[in-house]
Order: sequence, then C-alpha cells, then structure tokens
Amino acid sequence: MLLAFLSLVVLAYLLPFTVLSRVQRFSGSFLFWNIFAILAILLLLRMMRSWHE
Amino acid sequence: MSEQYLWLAIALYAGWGSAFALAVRRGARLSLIEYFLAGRKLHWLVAALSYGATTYSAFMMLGLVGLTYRGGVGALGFELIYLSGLFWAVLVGPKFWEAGKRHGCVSPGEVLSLEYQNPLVGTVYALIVSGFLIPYTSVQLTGIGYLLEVLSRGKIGYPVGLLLALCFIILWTSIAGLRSVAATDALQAGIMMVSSIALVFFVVVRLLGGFSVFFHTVETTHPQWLSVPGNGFFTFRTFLNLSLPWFFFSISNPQVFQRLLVPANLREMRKTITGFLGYGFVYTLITVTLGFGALVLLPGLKNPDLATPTLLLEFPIPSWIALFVVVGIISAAVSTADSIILTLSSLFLQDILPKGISEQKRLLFAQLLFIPLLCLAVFFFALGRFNLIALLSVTSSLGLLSVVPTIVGTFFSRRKSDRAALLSMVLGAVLALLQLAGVRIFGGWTAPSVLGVASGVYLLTGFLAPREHPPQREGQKCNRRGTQA
Repeated sequence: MLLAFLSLVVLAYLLPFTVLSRVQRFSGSFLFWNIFAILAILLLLRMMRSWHE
Repeated sequence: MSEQYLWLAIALYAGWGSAFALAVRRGARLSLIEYFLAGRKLHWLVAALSYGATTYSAFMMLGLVGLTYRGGVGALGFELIYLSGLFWAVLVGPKFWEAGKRHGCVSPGEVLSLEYQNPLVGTVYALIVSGFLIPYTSVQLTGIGYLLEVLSRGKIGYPVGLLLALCFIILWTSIAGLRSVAATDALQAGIMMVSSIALVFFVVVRLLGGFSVFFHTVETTHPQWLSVPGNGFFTFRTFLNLSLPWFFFSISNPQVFQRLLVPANLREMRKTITGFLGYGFVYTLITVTLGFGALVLLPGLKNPDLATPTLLLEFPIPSWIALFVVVGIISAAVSTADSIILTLSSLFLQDILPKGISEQKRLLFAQLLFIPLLCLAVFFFALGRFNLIALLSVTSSLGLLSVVPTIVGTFFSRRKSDRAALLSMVLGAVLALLQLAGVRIFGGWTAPSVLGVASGVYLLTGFLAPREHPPQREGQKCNRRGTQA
C-alpha cells in the first residue's frame, strides 16, 4: 500500500511534465491531477482502515 | 463596494463568531489540555472543519487564485499534491496520538522531548517552527489588510484591517482556547466553502456562460495555462520547490500536527481526516476554477494576488455574494492565524518556559503575555506590506521542512538519537534561512536540498551516535513543563 501510494505521488510529479506537457486541454493535466487526488484519497482511506488502538 | 456594507458584514461576522466562541466556553474548566486540546473531546465534524479552516488560509482565495492566474494548471497539481500529503498524518498520526495520550502531552515539542529523552529537542523544535511561522501568520493579516483596503477603495486603511484581525485572534483564542477556536473555525469553514461556491457559480454560469463555454474559452484563449511548464511559470524546479514543502505540511506545520493529539480515539481521528480530505478536494477545485475564471475575465492584472478582490469590484456580482466572499476570506485568514498563535503559545509554555510554574500560571502567561506578544510580532511583520502572499506562504513551509526528518524518525527510526534530531533541525533551518536570504548553494533546488540535508544529517548522525538512551520508559509524563526523565 505504501509503495502504491508513493508511486502515485511520483507519477503526479512526472506525467504532467512529460507525457501530458503538450496536452493543452482540460482533459490533460487538469483531469490527471484530479484522478490522482481521488486515487490518493481512496488509498489513504484504505490505509486508515488498518488502524487499531 | 460600499464601506458601510463592509462594516456591516464584519460586524455580523464578529457577532456570530464571538457568540460561537462564548457558547462553547460554558462549563469548560480551563486546564492546559482543555485550553490547547479542547480536553480531547472535539466532535469529529467540528474537528474536520476546524482542520480545514486552519489549513486553508487567505492563501487559497487570494494566493492560489493568483497562482492559477499566473501559472495555470500547475497550481492545481501543487495544491492536490499538498492534499495527498495527508499521507504523513495517516502514517505518523496514530503513533503520535498514542504517545501524546500516554504521556499527557499538550504540544508536539513535548512528544519529541520525551521520545528523544532530551528536553532540548522540544525547545529547539519550538524555536525553529516559531521563527518560520511568524511570517506565514503575518501573511494572513496582510491578506485581510489588502482585501479591505482594495474593496473599500482605500477608505478602510491597511492597518485597520490588520488591527481588526488581531482583535478577532486575541478574543477567540482567549475565550476558551482550542474549544472556542475550533467552534469559530467550524463556522468559518462553512462560510469559506459556501461563499466560494456561490462566487464560482456566479462567475462561471452568469459571467462566462456556463461550464462548457468556460472550458472552451480557457482552452482557446489560454491553452498554455492548461499544461506544465505551459506559459513558463511552472518549470519542474519551481513546481518541486513549491509543492515539496506542502507535501509534508500535515506534519511540518505544528498548528495542524498538534490537531492529531486532539481526537478522543483513532476512530475519531479517521473520521476527522476523512472529512477534511473531502472538504479539501472540493475547496481546491473551486479555488482553481476561480483562478481560471479571473484569467478570462481580467487579463493583464499586475498583481494576480488581487484577482479575487478585483473580480468583486469590476463585475456586477450581487452584494450578498461579494460580502459573503469577503467574510469567507477574512474567515480563512483568521482561522489559520488564531490556530497558529494558539499552537505557538503552547510551544512557548511547554517547551521554552522554565520548569516549576503551575498550570494556572502557565495559562495566565498564555492569555495575558504570549498571545498578545505573538500578535504584536505578527502585526509589525505584516506592516511591512509584503506583496507576495504565495511566495511568503511557501517560504515559511520551506523552513519547516527542517523538522520533518526528526518527526518521522521519532516513530520510524531504529537509530534515533537526540543529537541527530538537534543537528538535523538546526542545519536544515540554517540552510533554509541561507536560501531565503538568496544564497543558492544547491543551484536553486531549495526544498529538496533542505529536506535532503536534514534527512542526511539525521540518518548519518543517528548511525554514528552510540545508543545512549534506553528504550522509552512507561509512566513518564509531559505537560506542566514537560519532561520528567
């Protein structure tokens, strides 16, 4: 889970500056970063499920 | 915008906020844990809204709108990478909360002192974060000062805005500490969200012809704003330097890190973080959309930080929305500033003040001395009228990066040592200061270098240091001046 999350963050830095750097539409980096945020939130929710006192 | 309407909106805001603050005071017996952690009994919804209001400052509706105006979609990436940085709160939060509760700690510095078995660690931590947070707090006041000055066309002077903000901060922190701050924060978070939604819908639907027209207009008139580096503002280095400090914001900024000590149990903490993640995602999207809207409607602005106030002035936005937005921005600024002041005050009391002072005297010190003194420091800094809201906000976060390795290492390093923590924080902070002063030691890679040096020093010193300290002993208590070794 940790690895998946950190990989996602690395992609959030790399993809917009490489693959998406020429896509000058809302369907480019704008959409990508939104999807990134939703996936990140879902992963965080899963990580929090494993909390126990 | 009419000066009278502005005063009316401020008066209503002051009245509602004070009523909320006073309402939660009833029956609250003041102790350090009650004053600084709301007795660890905040409802998760109030805690989540308060976390949101504390995190999202005047930077959002002024700075982030301006950053979108200036650099485009990179501002969205930067802010959403910040949101994903809640990862650190999720990773460190339970261990930090457990240590704080077990030892009865009030401030993050106390937890560090206990875990590293050296009170100096908490003291150095407190001094470093205080030094870097005063400019950030002053930015909040700056936002209010500019906003009222611009909207009243100079009739409400810049210092008047600063003084108003100071009054709210002193009043709401003094009434019942975090309990009153959190109650007013929850109200303010609601105002921030509703006002920004109302404004963005009016701008996009009424002024720009609807969302599909808006998307099409931006794509055809400002296509470069939809990619990075795009128009050249968000180079990879700039993006990394801006976003990396904010990726660690949830643990590097003590005003939000301390909130992880507040929940009664981990279930409440989970609900608080979940609530905040939803709030943050929506609020970010709204703010960035507003930035794009301002870009289309107001091309050629000299100071993009003033895009929102200029929108309110230049377009026929209904008065109730405009005033609501003004109150929303003031709310965002005040809710961040009062939380910082409260946290810094707890750090001074618990990590810097000498031992042997009773709890009640500490509380008096906080209310009569520290909070007013901190407010004065912030006020005089804000009088400098710094123009760069986004830049000042981020440079504060740059300095705070220096404490990140120490915090993470507290709970995850097998070779943690007080020397490693002290050296790492001090050298990281010195490097940040040098870079803020213009010394480009690592070729302009400011954030990675501060984080890299602080981490490297922490790991190397920890590896070389002899294992002097025994494992954590049960039964130690912080609080009422911290560490009893």
